[in-house]
Amino acid sequence: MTKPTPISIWQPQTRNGKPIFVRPPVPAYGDHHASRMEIPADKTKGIRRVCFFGESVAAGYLFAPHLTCARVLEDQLNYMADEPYEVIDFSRTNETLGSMAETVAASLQLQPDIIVLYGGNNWNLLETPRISPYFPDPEARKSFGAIWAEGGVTSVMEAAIHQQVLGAEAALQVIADTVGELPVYVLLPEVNLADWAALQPPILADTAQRTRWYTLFEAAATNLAAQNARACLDQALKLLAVDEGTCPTTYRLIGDAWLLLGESEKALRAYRAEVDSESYASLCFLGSPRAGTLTRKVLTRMCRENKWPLIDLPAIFAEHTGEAVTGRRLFLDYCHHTLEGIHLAMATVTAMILDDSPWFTIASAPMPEIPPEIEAVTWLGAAVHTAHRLPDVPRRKELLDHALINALQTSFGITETMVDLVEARATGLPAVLTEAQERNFQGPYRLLMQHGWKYNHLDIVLIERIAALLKDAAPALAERIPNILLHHRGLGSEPEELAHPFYLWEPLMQFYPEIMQSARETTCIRCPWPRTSFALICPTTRDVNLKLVARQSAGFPTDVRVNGHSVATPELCESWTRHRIRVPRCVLNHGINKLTIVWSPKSMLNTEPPEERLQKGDEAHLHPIFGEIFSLTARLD
Amino acid sequence: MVCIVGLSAFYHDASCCLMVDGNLVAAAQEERFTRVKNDPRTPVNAFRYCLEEAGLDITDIDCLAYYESPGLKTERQRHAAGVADDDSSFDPQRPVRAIREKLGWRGPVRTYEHHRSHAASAYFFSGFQDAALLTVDGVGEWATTSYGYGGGSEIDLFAEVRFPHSLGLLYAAVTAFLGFKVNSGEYKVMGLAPYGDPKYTARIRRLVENKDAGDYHLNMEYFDYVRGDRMYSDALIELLGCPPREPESEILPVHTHIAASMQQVLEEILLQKANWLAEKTGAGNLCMAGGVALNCVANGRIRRETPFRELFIQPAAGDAGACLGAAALAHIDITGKRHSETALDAVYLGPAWSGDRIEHLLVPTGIPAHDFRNREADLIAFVAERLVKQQTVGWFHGRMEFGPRALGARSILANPLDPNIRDRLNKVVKKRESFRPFAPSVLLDHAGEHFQLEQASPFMLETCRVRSALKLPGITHINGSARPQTVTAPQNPRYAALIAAFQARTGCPLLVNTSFNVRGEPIVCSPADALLCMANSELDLLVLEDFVIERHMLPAHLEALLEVWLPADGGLSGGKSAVSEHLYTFV
Ligand SMILES: [Fe+2]
Repeated sequence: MTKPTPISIWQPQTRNGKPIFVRPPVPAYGDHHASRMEIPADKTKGIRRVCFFGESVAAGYLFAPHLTCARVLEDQLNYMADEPYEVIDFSRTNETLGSMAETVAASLQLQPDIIVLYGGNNWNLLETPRISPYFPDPEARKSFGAIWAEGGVTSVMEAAIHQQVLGAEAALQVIADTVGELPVYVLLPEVNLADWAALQPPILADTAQRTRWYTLFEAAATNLAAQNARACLDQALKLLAVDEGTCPTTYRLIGDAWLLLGESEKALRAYRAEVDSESYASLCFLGSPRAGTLTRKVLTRMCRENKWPLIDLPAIFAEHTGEAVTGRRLFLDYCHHTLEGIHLAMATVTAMILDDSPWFTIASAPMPEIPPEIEAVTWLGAAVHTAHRLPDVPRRKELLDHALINALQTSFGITETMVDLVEARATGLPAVLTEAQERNFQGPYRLLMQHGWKYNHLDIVLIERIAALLKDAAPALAERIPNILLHHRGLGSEPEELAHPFYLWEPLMQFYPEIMQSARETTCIRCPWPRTSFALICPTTRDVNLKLVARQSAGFPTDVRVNGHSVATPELCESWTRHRIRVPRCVLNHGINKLTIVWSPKSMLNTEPPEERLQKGDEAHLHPIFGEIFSLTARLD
Repeated sequence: MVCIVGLSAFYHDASCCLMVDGNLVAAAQEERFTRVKNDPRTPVNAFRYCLEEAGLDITDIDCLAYYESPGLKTERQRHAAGVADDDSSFDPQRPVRAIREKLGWRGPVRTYEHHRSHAASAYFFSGFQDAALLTVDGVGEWATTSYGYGGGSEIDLFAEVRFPHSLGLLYAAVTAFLGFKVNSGEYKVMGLAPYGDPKYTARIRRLVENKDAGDYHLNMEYFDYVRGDRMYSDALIELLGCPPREPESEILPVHTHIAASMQQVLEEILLQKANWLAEKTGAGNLCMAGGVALNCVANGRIRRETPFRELFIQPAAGDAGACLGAAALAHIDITGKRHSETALDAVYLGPAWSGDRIEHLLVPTGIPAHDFRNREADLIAFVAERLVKQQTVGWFHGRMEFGPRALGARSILANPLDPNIRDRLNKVVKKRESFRPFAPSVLLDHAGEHFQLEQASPFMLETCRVRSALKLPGITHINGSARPQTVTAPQNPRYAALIAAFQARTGCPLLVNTSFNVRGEPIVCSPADALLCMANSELDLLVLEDFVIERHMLPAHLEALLEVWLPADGGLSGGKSAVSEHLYTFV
């Protein structure tokens, strides 16, 4: 027999003369892997062994380690089948194609009877990072620039798609070659199309076109808000002509308009196009990991070629919910499942393995159960995720409230955790140093890494909704929130710098600092959207003095607003200029205030063309910059 | 108002300083803010800090002064890489372009040659009216060693040694051979040297031929600068007759002998160059800067064995400190005058946190710290008692130091009379190699009783002999030397008072002083850094200005949870992986 080799993080060992695989201890905050500590190398006679592979969705993200897809699958198989099954979980968050193929190959040491693959959402984010204007290696940026110069953004998207297809096919072929005749069940991933939206600036080089795009966008969004679906659709289709399908924002408007008009099939197509166009843009701006059409095509083709059974989740989900466009019923956020979503997906796998009807299995197998405290934490985690990853689209408030209310209704004690989270964020300290975090760690509602403890941002979007919902649900606790904020972050007589990522109202405006660290290395706030907002934490007893140092192209109006009230219209120009602004106390709220700079859609700064910069190997912002803020300090009068 | 920002960046140790009307208002290294050791990136955080410290913003700045000449540097880089003179992988515009973009600066950027910036960082901060100038480092543009003379507001660099001949690169190659990191591990070689015998001196001399006057030549057969993973050729391995030491592996006697030989040859050459410079300039004062000027053993010999009566070494002698020189040169260009006639007497140029701000930070941690506000004498007594009881103390007080040394603002302090202190500090606090000695902070008035030291040494830049009646194993190197910092009340009153209180209890007017960090991490900057460092080490006590935290006061699970918060190795800028394992992730 050959010497055993590691499988992913599981190292070969022997215990009582028997070979086993053991993983390193789970850190206090959890990690990316399943919680199972050891795996016996040898199968128990009569028990069929399933090895389960996938990404965060498969790992039961936000539920794990308390509940995972693998455990649900094992329970369902054992409930439905005549013979016993065991499911060994190799899914992990941040899984890539290459490492999945390696893990599958190594797992053959366990002599599995069945392989299950559930991936695809990560491909758009993790498989083509070199096709990014922010990739650290200048050589990668140069080749990006060369493609861009040749054929513009559509060429870059095509190159990314090409690379992704090649990579995916190669990795799946490696899996096919290693597993031989073993049955491989493949899930075709579905994503939250109804509720999760992209809001991305278009990548347009021409200033006139950009201005036209933003003007049309404002009009379409206004019409949508007023339920004027026809007008919105007309304008959105004009937007499409301007951006040539490279901007997901446009497709979202089209989809929303069609949905209002009762055309759900057309809406579905538009939403799918939104995800597809985002699959490249997410590399350089505000995307989420979501599987697109391409992913499903590659998986379908590989299944056909290798005669692997295919589990068509989009079809199952649509039929189960009776809705063409699936949403929050099955998804916690952009792609991670609710309990019902996990049940549905795994029941379909169970049915396929046992050659049963999926509907019979879905109806027969018991719904997975978890303690209410854990489910409440999951919903709070979903809210955190939504606040961090969903841009400022009309449905954000709705979705945040949905998650927070579910948390409250599942287990009311989660309210204390919400306040602890607010406190940990407000201190500005690493959460690990706060008493609030320590308290949470010892209680029944322990937040883990996946719930966003390690986050260097005030998180005002989340805090605002928590404060609003607790007003009804727990008024005494709700009263504490403005005081906590004022205690830690409240203005005093010393100026406080608000032009810092910490105070940015929209966390996504920092790009994806976790992924592309180098994008964070600027000293000023660059504003890639016509509005830039900051959290201003102050009492209502005194006026607030602001000092703004900013620039934009000269000759266009800029409006400074607090809670929607215009407080100044400073005249900015290409050079840095300093402006003093007084905010009268009558427009202030006790605690949270929203300070917004509204740039003119025509005020875009002239910067060196991105393709030229990229060809030199420099980073480039592909999106227009409306203005830059060097400093925005605030203090009480 | 004349407001000048000096900058060093893009090689290692990026930093920024601010000079307002000739006053050095603030200076800091970028690594302290980003927590990435030797961070070379545009110092965006240090830049912001400097302006905030002065209450200024970007509209107040007159000019940026950059510490080297990108055009000349590119020329040398292309030459060294063996590519064409117009090869686009080296772009002379990139540094200034990056400065403009990352800092948002749109006004004038003045650039000064690397060694000129080093020389200015020493001379214009020395208080001397005339001095000989010696700058020695790895390499800047072309120069690797420069000789000059400073008089009034003029600097004349009249001779230089050019790349590839470089004492800094020679020392770096041996550093790499001995398994330490180039650009930061050189001082480990210096620390290792006294453990060995200079048996390899003859062989090291084959690497470098010292010549008359200011010149010397490296024998390039033994070097290979272009190889990314090391700086020497196979010929060096053959010459030294032993395999290169693997990083982190055991240190063998042969390694100590090589270190001793390298150090001896360096000292010989530097002494001859300094003597030649004294003769050539006739100056009584010498100013030094450049990374090699951080070799405090060589510095001590230069003071003792050359005709120079006064010596001023820029405390931030490495590239970080060159931003000071660039700012000083720009000040002269703009105003026609030297920015200062007096010597830099302290380097507390970084951020500070008041007692009240620290209280504000401590409340949400739930740590029941002892509050000594308005009771400084009690604080001093409390900490002194703990030091007497051989506890290790993290000492956070006042503005952070600029430069590589902790000088009583961000220091770990310990009892030098404790016979086990070196091992204990090395193992449980610093987590580093055990051979390296610690430095003492000694009250200036008592320095002569314990050290053979004729002058003040406020910046810990020279070694001298220990001649104390006390047994001081913690700070005495194997060869009987030490690297003291002399402390006076005017420079750092609270620190001086602490040492005096320790002396009152023990008769010993000195403390062990080492930088406040664990291995591989930059020195702490903020109170949060200090708390995390305490949790990540086994420090007994943390003094945050007026607040004292004992180990048992830390949150119960902090240590277990900490691993998630500490930065993953290598960061993301290495280009290997786009996503880190230790971050909050979502896919
Ligand atoms: Fe240098």
